Amino acid sequence: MKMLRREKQVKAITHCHWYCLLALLFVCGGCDVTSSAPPHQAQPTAKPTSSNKLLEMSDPNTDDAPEWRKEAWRRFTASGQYRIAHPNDFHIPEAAKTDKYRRLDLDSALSHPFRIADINQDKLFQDLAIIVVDTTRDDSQRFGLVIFNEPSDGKAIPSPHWLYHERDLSKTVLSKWSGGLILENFHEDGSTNNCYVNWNKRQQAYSCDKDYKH
Amino acid sequence: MHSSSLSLLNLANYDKCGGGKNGLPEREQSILTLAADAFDSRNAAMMAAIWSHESGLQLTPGGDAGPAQLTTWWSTNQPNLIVGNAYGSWNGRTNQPFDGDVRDNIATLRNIYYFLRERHGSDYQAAYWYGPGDRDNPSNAAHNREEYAKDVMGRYDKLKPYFDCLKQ
Repeated sequence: MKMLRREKQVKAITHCHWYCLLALLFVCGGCDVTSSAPPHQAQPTAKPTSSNKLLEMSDPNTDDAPEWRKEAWRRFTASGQYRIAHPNDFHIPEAAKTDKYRRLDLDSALSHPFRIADINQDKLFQDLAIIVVDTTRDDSQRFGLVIFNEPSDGKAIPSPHWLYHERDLSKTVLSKWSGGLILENFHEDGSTNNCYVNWNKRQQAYSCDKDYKH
Repeated sequence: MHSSSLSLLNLANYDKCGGGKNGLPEREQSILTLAADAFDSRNAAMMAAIWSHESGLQLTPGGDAGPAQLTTWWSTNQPNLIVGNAYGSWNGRTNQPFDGDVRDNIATLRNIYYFLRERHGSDYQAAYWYGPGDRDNPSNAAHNREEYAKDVMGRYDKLKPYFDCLKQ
């Protein structure tokens, strides 16, 4: 009975909060709250000269990132051949941005072309997937998608696993979900051909498939 | 309307508090979590921590239903916690983006978080029970939930100062 009463309270609160929010938005109609500047306005436009822009962006390798991840990325980019993809590397069709929330998500995915999640489903949540660009080429196949699996000891430096290499990913974004990672691959008309990123433990390799395999 | 509420909804401190950087919520996500809970920074931080773990603070993720990654367990067993169009057309795991109401989905996350905290007694326990079991091997469930809760509470520790900062 107590629980039932609590649940009724919760339901009442639910409606109250959104009505309050709507009231606030109404009162604040001229405050430009919901249409304030998008979170990712200024994007780099100059051609990258550094191989490692990851540390400059709002990124997974901040000061509190685990050492293994910083070191894995440092090693991966040490030769200068690869860098993280920049927003202006992508060409997501406008037709894909069907509403405000889709637009925000896609804009965010372009300026943060990486995801941290339990991608290989080993209950370690810090695997890192990044869309990278080969700096030695300027053709459409210059992209790659690389994943670093979190080491079980939290110390070993993981090797990169290439999900895709030398492939056009200019219309691809990464999407995290509770079971790992989804790739959204857009067509010009805004339609998608999406897939689940799956880990094959025996082959120690990733694939992207129509079905989730776990 | 209290001026501090308007200021908070406008996120006047967003840039100063580092919003959108270093894994902290972007403007829209900050508003959604704060507004869903009457601007309580503790609850907003817990909701954002779960949201961050579930779907990386995305608004329209695929997989399970919406930002909160709801499953049918909740709609079946606790339907009174579900708000409006929290599921959209979701009818089982999908690789297509969420098409329901994002605000309803976040409000449902809040309801579930309240419910779990009330029932189990703490934020840690709320996260623990929000986490996944193991359908194939139930003996793994406790370990899975512990790891989930530890990760969520780590995110909370980073998010709480951010939401406190927004309220200053």
